[in-house]
Amino acid sequence: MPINTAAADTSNGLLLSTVIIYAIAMLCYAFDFAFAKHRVLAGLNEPAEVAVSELVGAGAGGPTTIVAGKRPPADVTAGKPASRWPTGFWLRLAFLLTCVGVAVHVTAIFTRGIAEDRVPWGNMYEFIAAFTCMAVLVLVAASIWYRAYYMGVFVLVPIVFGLGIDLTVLYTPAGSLVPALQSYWIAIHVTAMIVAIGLFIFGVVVTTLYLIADRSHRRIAAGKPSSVAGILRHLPGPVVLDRLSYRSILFGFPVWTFGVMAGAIWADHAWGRYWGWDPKETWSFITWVVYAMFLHARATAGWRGRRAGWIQIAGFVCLMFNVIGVNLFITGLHSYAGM
Amino acid sequence: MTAAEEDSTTRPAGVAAGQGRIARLGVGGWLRWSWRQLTSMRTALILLFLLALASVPGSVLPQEGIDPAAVTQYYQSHPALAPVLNRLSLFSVFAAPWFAAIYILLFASLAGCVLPRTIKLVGSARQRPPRAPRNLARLPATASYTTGLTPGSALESAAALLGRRRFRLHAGEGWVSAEKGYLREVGNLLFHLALLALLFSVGLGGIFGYKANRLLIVGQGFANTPTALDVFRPGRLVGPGDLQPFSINLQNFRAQYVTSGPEADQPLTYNAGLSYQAQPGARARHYTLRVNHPLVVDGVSVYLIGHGYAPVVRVTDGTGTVRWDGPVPFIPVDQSTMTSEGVIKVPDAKPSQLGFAGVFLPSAVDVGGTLQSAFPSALNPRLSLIGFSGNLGMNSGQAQSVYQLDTQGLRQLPIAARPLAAGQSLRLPNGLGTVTYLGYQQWISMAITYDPGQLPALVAGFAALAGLILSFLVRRRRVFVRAVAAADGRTEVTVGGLARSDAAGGFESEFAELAQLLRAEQHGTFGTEPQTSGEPENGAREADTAAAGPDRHEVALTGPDGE
Amino acid sequence: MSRLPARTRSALGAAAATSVVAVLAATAVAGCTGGDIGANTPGSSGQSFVSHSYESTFYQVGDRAMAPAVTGSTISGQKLSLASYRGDTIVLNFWGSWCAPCRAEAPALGQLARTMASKDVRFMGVDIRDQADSAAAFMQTFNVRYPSLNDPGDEIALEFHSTVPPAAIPTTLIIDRSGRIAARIFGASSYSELHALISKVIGQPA
Repeated sequence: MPINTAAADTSNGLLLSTVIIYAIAMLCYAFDFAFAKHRVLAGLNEPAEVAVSELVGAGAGGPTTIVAGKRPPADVTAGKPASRWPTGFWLRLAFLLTCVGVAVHVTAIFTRGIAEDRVPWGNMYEFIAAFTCMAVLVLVAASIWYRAYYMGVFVLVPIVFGLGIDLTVLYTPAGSLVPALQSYWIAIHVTAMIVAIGLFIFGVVVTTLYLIADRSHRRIAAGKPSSVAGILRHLPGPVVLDRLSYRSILFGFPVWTFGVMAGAIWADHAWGRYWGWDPKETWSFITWVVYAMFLHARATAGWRGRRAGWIQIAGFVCLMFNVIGVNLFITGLHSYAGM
Repeated sequence: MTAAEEDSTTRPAGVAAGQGRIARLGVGGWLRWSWRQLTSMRTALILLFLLALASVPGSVLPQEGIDPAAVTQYYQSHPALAPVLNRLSLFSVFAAPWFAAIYILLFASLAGCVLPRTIKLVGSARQRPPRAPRNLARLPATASYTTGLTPGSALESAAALLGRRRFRLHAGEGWVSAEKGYLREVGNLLFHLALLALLFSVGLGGIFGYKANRLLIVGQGFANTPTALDVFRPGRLVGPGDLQPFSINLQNFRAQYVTSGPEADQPLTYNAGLSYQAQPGARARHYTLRVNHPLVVDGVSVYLIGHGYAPVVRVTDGTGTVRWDGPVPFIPVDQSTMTSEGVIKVPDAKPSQLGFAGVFLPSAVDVGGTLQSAFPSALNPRLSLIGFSGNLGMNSGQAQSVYQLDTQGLRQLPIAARPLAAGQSLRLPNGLGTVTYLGYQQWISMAITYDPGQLPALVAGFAALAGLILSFLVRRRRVFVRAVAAADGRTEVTVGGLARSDAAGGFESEFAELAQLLRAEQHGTFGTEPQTSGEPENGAREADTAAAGPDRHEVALTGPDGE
Repeated sequence: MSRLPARTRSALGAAAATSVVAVLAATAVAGCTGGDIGANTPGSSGQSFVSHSYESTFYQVGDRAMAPAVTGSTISGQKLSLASYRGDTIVLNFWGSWCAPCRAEAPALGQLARTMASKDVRFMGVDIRDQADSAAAFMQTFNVRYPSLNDPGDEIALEFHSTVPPAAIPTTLIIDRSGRIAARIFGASSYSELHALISKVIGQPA
């Protein structure tokens, strides 16, 4: 199958541009933190004093009464804060660049697909490019839907880092698929995994922030100094962060479940058995179990909040081992997908 | 459990007939305590953790069921450690008894939690929402307004509005209770029950199903009987007569490879042309077997999982009689060049038994004096053989692999290793005979699988997914309305609401919208704006103590007698 | 639904759960160790035959299945069928020249064929996955005088599928005078074992 080299080169160039755009957007998000005045994120960001008292009183999240009158009635009736779009020059620029960047990212992947005349996830290089794109899409969606603009810099840092490594160390030129991968299942199973991984990446970044914010708030409440209090002024309280992270997993876990099932159906088609404890299969199972632990922890007294957060981080570590570690360190049926 | 034992579990210590002994749990009490512990969420968490942890060695260490050659290699590279690991079943983790113990305990915990709740759900299909609490202002979401309607008609209109929005209603003296979102529990239970069904289906396949492998050279055929299979792994209750009696003939095979560019040598397509019969005497049908396109015949699936070359060889012994004339399958040792190795055994050659070990190079090229294969297609096939004579060890009855030569009773023949082209022969010394390389054939290897639990497992999987999505999408929430006549002749209506297990948020907006609608219906005016406190993330504030059956996660909070 | 006392309901729930789990555990364990939850090998290399430990079964007169009407061509190309030996006791042996246990029992079979011919016992072989030259060589090595049907496509083995299928190589079936399968042996048999079994079949009225 001939490779369209013009399209392949275009794809490479576009992906490089994506990294640059994300890096600039990352800087703009940081500038927003540095220069913009302290803003109440339209109802989501309780003033620091309230946030502290809420936690001192009720442990891992209790009721906060937003005193009526601080918000205009229109807000309450609608149930939504005033504006879902970013405010401030730097934040607007950062978000615009993020959107432009993700559009370029999608185009890069698309042209790669054109070059190879197939779905562009057949090796590690393409796979990482795809799920980092998904993570940024989740960031954009969460920003608009849940006003999570504050997540910008924190999500983009690992994305830029990951894409940088992908482009340099893991680069593979455009090519065709081995017969085992020539199936419409690649569009189903691998796509589901990409979507789930993007959601899980977003979730783990939020959870990390939640754990840091939670610890900082508790230290402040106890009268001890906290080194990150400055940055935390730009973030909503830990309860909101925790809820946002939980939402990511609520979306991601069913998609991951579906991806594992689709993988099993495809494995049955290709190899004659739907589950063979191949290392990749085993680690996707382990990842599933740990995220299931997270969901169970959320429903168990004493395990919500911080402990659940740590379980989610453990789940993400398992996920990264599943996606990258298994390919690098362990041989199995999945290693033909190549690095 | 006797009455006395029951008493001792419920009465506080020291009260038992003034004896001053600490109250004891009887056997029944211990059983109940153990059951409670097993089916608690915390135990589920621990067991899930153990399950994940137990799977790790199964992916890091070589496993018998997946790659037995790697296990043998591990023994060689870790001679002291390997037997210890083997004793702990770490080379077959997923069939190990301790692994089974973990998931059986986990499923016991799951079943013990889910089945009673299922029975309860079925029984409570028409259960009504609980009474409205007295003080609605303490709920996480509240609103109040005054209206000119009488309390009775205010409540009626509220009930009508909530009813139109498909809340389940319960009315009482001066209050209306509404609840919605029972499907969440349905989804939750469906998910967990589907997991049980999945385990059952997997076990079913393991008992009544079987897996087999067969290598077939082009031109050969076989029928699905145990004697015809290279590897046969039957389920517990599968006997030789239970195999579906189909037969398959391999008519041709074609492999295409990338010929140039950075991906040269990579395979493009494999096509195996088959003719098959579902039963003896049935009409012969044709099928092209490819990777990802298995043949399904009589409920059994046949997959193409490998291919290779079988050089055709003729061996003439010392008496001049042809003792072997046909293809011998060689196994590829390098997939990118299809360099293959194999063995030819001629145990009935006279005067002496003969054996040959050989290397087949499909596209032989001279690289610095040695011959190597440069491409997986057979562009320039060469066969290189080493000869042995003596005792192959087959007459003693000890089973041998057809791909390996046991050189213990054999003597290597002093012939110069010369790669043979098609038609060339090698004369063996001492009048032992001649071996001629005639050409090559191709072979495919197939995996034959019969799994009656496969379809149930698929259905269970999708049911689990549906249950999961349902339980995530649907929120269980309650709205209460109280109406009392106020001093100024108007009626004061208070609306309160809470969402149970709604840590993901979203109820506030629904409540605010409901409050507005109720007020608008009744032409009321807000005394104070509807207030929403951030809903408790853990639902710990359960204002409705008359609740029938709190969620399982509440039990851990309120103690063992939450039922 | 009437409200049973809470303790009874929870006991019932526990009992229901326990019984379900017991069934599941039994299924899973049986499925695990006997079948393939844990193991599979989609590889292309492996042994080339299925070996079986020695096992002999004698079928009582009322329990015997009718042997199928087997016909085919011998290694040397002649037509042969089971029907041509009707009235005699037939010993049908599935073998292959590549199969080590078959080679181990071949001398015993050849000798028995000679000694028991006077008792109207006829031997016939079914040669599995073999080619003509190596099969003929085998027969010469072990001085096997009785004919063997050539079965490269396992069609003959398949015909026994619904009666007494051969589960391994070698398999020996003893067919009585009325054409019913009287005994079955999996694995290599010795002279004395096979002699005893054939005598037992002959001794009984068919």
